[in-house]
Parts: sequence; C-alpha cells; structure tokens
Amino acid sequence: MIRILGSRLLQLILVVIGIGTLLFFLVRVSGDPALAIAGSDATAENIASIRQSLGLDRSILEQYLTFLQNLCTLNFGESYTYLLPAMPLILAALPNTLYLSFVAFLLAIAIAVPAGIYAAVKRNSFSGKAVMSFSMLGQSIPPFVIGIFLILVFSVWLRWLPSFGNEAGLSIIMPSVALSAVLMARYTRLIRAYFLEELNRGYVRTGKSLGFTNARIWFKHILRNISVPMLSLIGIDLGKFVGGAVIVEAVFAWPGIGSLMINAVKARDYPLLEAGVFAIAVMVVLLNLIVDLLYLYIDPRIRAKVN
Amino acid sequence: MTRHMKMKNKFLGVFLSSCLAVSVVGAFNAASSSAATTATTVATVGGKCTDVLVQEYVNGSGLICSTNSSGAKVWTKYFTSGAGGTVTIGIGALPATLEAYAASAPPRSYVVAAIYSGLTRVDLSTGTPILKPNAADSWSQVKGSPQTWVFNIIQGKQFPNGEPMNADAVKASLDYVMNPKNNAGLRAKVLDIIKIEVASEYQVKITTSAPRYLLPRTLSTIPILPPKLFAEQGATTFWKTPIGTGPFKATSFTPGVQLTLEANPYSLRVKPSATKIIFKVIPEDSSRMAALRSGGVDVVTKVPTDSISTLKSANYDIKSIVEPATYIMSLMAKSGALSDKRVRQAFNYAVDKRALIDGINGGLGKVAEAQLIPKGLTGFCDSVSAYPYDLAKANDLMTAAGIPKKSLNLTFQSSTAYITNDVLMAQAISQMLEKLDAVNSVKVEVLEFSKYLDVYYLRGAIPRKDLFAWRMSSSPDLDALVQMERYTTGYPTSNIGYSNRNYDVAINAAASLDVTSTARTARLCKAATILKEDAPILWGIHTPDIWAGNKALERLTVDAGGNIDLVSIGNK
Repeated sequence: MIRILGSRLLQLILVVIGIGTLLFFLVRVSGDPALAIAGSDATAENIASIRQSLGLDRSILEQYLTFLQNLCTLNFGESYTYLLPAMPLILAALPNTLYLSFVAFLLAIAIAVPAGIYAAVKRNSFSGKAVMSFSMLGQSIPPFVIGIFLILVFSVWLRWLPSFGNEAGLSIIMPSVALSAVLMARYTRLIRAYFLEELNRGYVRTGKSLGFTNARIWFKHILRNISVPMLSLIGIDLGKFVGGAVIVEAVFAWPGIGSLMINAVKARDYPLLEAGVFAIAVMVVLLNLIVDLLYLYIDPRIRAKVN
Repeated sequence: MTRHMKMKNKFLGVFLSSCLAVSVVGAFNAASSSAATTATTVATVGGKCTDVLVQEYVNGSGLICSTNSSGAKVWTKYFTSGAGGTVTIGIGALPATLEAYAASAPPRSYVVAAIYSGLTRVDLSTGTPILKPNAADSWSQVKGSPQTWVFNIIQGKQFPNGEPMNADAVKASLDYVMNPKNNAGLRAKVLDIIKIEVASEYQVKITTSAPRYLLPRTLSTIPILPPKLFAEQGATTFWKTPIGTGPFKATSFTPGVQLTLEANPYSLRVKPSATKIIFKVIPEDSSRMAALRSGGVDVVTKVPTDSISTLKSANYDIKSIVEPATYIMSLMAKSGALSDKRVRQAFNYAVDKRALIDGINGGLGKVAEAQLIPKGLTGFCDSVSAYPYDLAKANDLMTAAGIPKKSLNLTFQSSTAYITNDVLMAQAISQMLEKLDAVNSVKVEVLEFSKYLDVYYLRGAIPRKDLFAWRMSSSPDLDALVQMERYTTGYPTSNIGYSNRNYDVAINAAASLDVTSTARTARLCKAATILKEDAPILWGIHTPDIWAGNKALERLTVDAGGNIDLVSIGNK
C-alpha cells in the first residue's frame, strides 16, 4: 500500500513538473501579455515598463528557473489581470468546480447503474430499447447544447430554475444534469454490455441453481465483477470530465475555475493559467489515485497481489 | 460754434458707439470663451432649457430637458432618488479590477464613473459631448496663456474616509497618473501636462506644453482619489476595496463573477434612482439572453443581432446605439498594387457597406462616412461623405491603375469576437472584393485576440498584411483629432506606409486650435478630405452596441460613448 502511495506521489510530482514545463513554454510562445494589459492606446514606454514589472524582460531560462523555484512553494505569482495572487484565486473558485463535478458524477452513476441493469435484463422489451435510445441521444449531444436546451425549458419557459450562477440550492440542478448527460449515457451503455456478458457466466447459472434471488445475483455478484473494468474507465474519464466542466461553467456562468481559465487564456495571464492547470493536473492525478485504491478494495485478487 | 458743437456731438456719438461696440464684442468674446468655461447652472422644474435630453442633477435628483405640450423646451423631473430599487445587469465581462486609471472604454468607463468622480463629466445624452461640472464647479483658460487651465473645485465635500475633496487631492491624483513608474493606462491621455499647481485650497492650475482645448474633457476620465488613503494603502490594495465620490459605492466585488454597487452617501452631485445595481457576469451570449428572458436579470449587454427579433417579439426594450467607434481596414500602402491610391479607392467603391449593416448586423449600425468618428462627435466634417457602392467605377479605377485581371491575391486579417460580427464582416468584405475583375482571391486570416494584438502593435512573428481590420474607438476623447493623428507620418502603430505632408500639416495646425473654433474644424475637414482622397483606409461601418431590458425597467439609456446611464435607471 505504502509502495503504491509512494509511486503515485512520485508520478504526481513528475506529471506536475512535466505539465508545468510544457505549459510554461506554450504560453510564452502565444505572445506578450504586456500588450494585452497595456490596452490599445499605450505608449511603447508603457509596454516596456509593464514587461519589466512582470519580469518578462529577463531571459526565458531565467524565467523558467524562477518558475520551477516558485512551483516548489506553490507560488505562481500575481495574476496580471486580477492583481491578486494566482493560486488563492484558483483555490477560491475550485470548490465550485469540485461541487459541480462531484454532483454531476454522482448523478451519472446513480442513473446509469439502474438504467444499464434495466436495459440488460429487459434487453428485448420496448422499455429496454427506449433506455438505449435515450442513452444514444445523450451521448450524441454535446453538454453545452443540453445546457442551453435545459435553460430554455426550465428557466425561460417554465421559470422553475435559475439559469446562471451559484446562488440558490436549485442552481446546481441544470449544470450537473448537462455535465452528467454524456457520462450517464456512456455508462448506461457500458454497464448494459458488461452486464449482458456477465449474465452468461457460470457463476450466475450456479447462483440461480442455488436459488439466489435476481437482486442478489445482479447487485452482489455481477455488479461487483463489472465494477473493476468500470473503474478503469472512470479513471480515464475523470480528466475529460473536468474539461467538460469548464464548458458547462461557461454556459451557466458557474463561478468555477472554468471562467477564470478562459479569461486567463484570453489575457495571456501566465500565473493564473499556470496555477489553474496545476490545480486541474493535481486533481486528476489524485482522483486516479483514489480509483487505484478502490481497485484494492473491490478486487481481492489485486489486493492479494499487492500484499 | 454750432458746427463745432455738432462735430463734438458727432465725435462723442462715434466714441460712445465705439465703446458700445467694444462692450458688445467683449461680451460676445466672453460668451464665446464660456464655451470653454462652465459654471454650475441652476435648473428648476418648468424652467427653460436648450438641449433636449440633457440632464441636470439638482438637489441630488435628476431633471431632463424635454419638449412640453406647447412645444417649449423645459426642465422636467426625470427620476426620484432611491425610487428605482434594485437593478440587475447581465454583462458579458467586467473589468478584472476596479482600478480607476486603466485605459477607459466600456464597461470599465461606466463602472469607474459610477464609483469615482473626475473633475468634469461628459454628458452624451444628445449624441454630442456636453461638458458638465463634477469635482470641479467651473473651469477656464487663463487669459493670455492658453496652455494653462484653472479648475475651481467643489467646496465642502469629502471622501468617505473623511479626507476633503480639494486641490491637493486633484494634484495627487494627476501626479500619480503622470508618473511613468505607475504604468497608469490613462497616462497616454495626459502626456502633455507639464505642471500642476495648487493655487488655493479649492483651485488648481494645470499647464500643458501646447494649448490643449480638449483637456477638461480628457480630465472627465481621470478620477480624483483620497490622496492620504491611496498613498497609505498603495494602489493594489486600494483597488480591492476602493472608495470614491461617484454616485455609487462598490459593496462587493468578485472578479469575473459579480459586482454590487449601492448608492453612495458621499456622492458629489447626485443620488441615483436605483438603491442597488448588481452586475452579473454571464459570458455566453445565449445564456445571457436566457437570463433576461427568465427574469434572472433586468438588463443585458451586447445583445447578438440574431436575438433581436426574438426579444422584440417578447416586448423587451431594445436600445441600439452606434458605438463611438468605426470598423475600418488599414490598407497596406507600402508596396505592391495597394501603393496606388486608385486601387485603394477602388476597394472603397467595391464594398457595399449598407449590405454589411442589413445582412450581418440586423439593420443596426451606420455606414461610416469616410471619416474616423461618427457624426455628432467633435471634429466631424459634414462635407466628407462615404464612398458609394459602385462596382463599375471600382473596376474602372483598377484598369486605370494598370492592374491585370485576376492578378491580385490578398490577405485580410481579422479579429474574432472582438468587434461585433467581425469574422462575418471580414468574410463578406472579402467576397465583395473578389467581385473586382483584378482580384483573384482575398483570403481571410482570423487571428485570436493575443495574436491580433501582436499584429496591431507590429510585434511578433506575423506581419501586418494587405487588409487589417480593426475598431477605431473615439472614446474617451470623442473627438476626431486623436484618431486622425494615427495617420500622420511616423505614428508608432501605423506602419502601413501612408504619408502625406499636407495631411500632417493640417493635423498639426488643428492640434493647436480651440476645440470650438471654426478654424480647427476647417483644418480637420481639410485633413479628412485628403485622407478620403488618399484612401489608406477601407471604411466600413459604425458597429451597433445593443442592450435589452425588461418591461418593468425605466430609463434604460445608453449614450453615444457606449455607457449605460446607471444614475437614472430603475425599476417601476
């Protein structure tokens, strides 16, 4: 266990340094932030002075070494646009993004598991096919289109739900549904496929011959077996999920890191961009670590191998 | 004797007439100079006024000049302070900070004007800039020294922290902006101020290197801050929780999310109609429109042109103004075919500007005359009109210039999502130019904002190509001169190879003349005529700035500078 944790921690450090380095050079290739800060009427003297105050007049190597040094202390400097330290800005917005992602993920799982099982056991019925058609639809429509559709129906026509921001408790409903839709549809289809495969396995027939109820076979045995490949997929999907959250945040004006990151890209706000990408990278690596630990909990074979 | 008496009487008569004439001329001159000198006027409900739509703040509330049933122009009550409740505005973007001295264009300009006070205030309600008192009660040029302006500061007023609003505060604020170490975005506007003197507690003298008739107008954009607090806290800390003497105070600000303004008890001139104004940042156009239609906000900014008909059919109040900006394309006149002015003129004839408005901007906006400012702003020249759409004439000019058929392959650089419908307009214009016999192709190169800025500033790897589209803003000066200077020889960001000595002379001459003088207008007209003839620009349109408000909202007005009137807006 300690070895796994240690290796994952090392992986985290390498990933962060790798992403940080890549990001450092990519954003600097994109152009000079002093121009974006100075505005259209600035004098050349103004621009030069801004570059100097941001330390952009120093050599790239010097800037990179300072960046690595600051990375160790999580000091990404002050945002060029907000004139505030970049990391606290990201950390202030991060709970909103995590809240949205967490609710959307739970929603996806809470609906996909029963829907997938239902579609598998009722595979030849109309209702089973209807579930699959809906899941196909959900997987085909991008989250921002679903978001706009939800706003139109539930905010503009029915006026039941707020269309933007995170002020009331109800504000979470539409963004989380929009964000979870694709994942929900994808998992419904996968759970159905895995479930169908498992239904033909010997242990299911044995269970039936021993007089186990369907619920016991489905939830205690089959579900546990299919959760291992599902977990692998969840680990891969988490990164995409955070990326999807950035788009959904823009549609619902959700005050997460998405809008901060979009503004940072537009304004070439290096410190904010670096802090944001760093936070997302750490989040994804940590979530993958949790997935790895869950493997140990679910699959005794892996646990035995580790021990 | 009688003859002598008659002669004496005649002489006396001539002398008295001369005295009278001198007095009249003096009075007239005084009246003329009052164009540059303003004192507080006292408007009363029912009293006569001159310019319809102009507002006055009296006893904290607002009066507006309007025409009554008998056709007379009289002051009428416009709004009652505090009666407008809370107004929520859905906005595409807010300034990242509440910094007062960053380069000023909407939305920063109206947010800054809400929180802080400059020496003067520009009223654009009529479409033409009218200067009003703000931190200064009155101002005038010193006789015999047109470089020096005297500003008389409002008395008995203070900042929320108790510091007095006086000449020291004015000097400290201007000194800060002018100090190159502070990197104030507005510094470029006051580069020619050479001396600021505190003449008395409530009088300040400002001297410029040359007569500067726009100075009182320019100073409307530079807020006066409490000097001691600002010095103690430092700029960065002060901008986080700023205080000022504008009509509102910022009570909460989450960058990129929300700004809440509440009526400021320390306001110098007016107590606003709304008690609270909340700006909510909703960057996505469709989400912002949905927020209006769902009742989440009362007003939205930057309405996309394709949403107008939907909002109109649902009875929303649509306000469209022509931005104080012009969508133009600089033509690379350095070499090649575009170095011939007949080719540049042909391009101007080949573009159907009306089609850009009707086909792309929902019928909103205005065709730009062959000038750099919209009509109504100072320095606009009535005699210089737009190039008409005339494809045959354009082809004739190309033939006269000796350009073979299908020989020109051009590149058109455009921004994306920076100017209203910029990419669509670039594509339409390129297709219009491709209709010219001599043009083989016009490739549209869309640049994301940071790359676009590189090209604008002539930095980075991408050079400026044949056509470069941009938005020439007249804000905050609202005057032709500042824009026209960009086409003088050697202007830093105008590396298109255009140079005309006669143009330079006319612009330099206009720069030293009183903003209200006919001589200045004549020189600007001469320069505008030269510019139209030389055509280093492909003139496009004045783009629309569209706002929408719900039915319960009163006094949703947006001025020609693109600023919403936050003082008078309110809910029923």
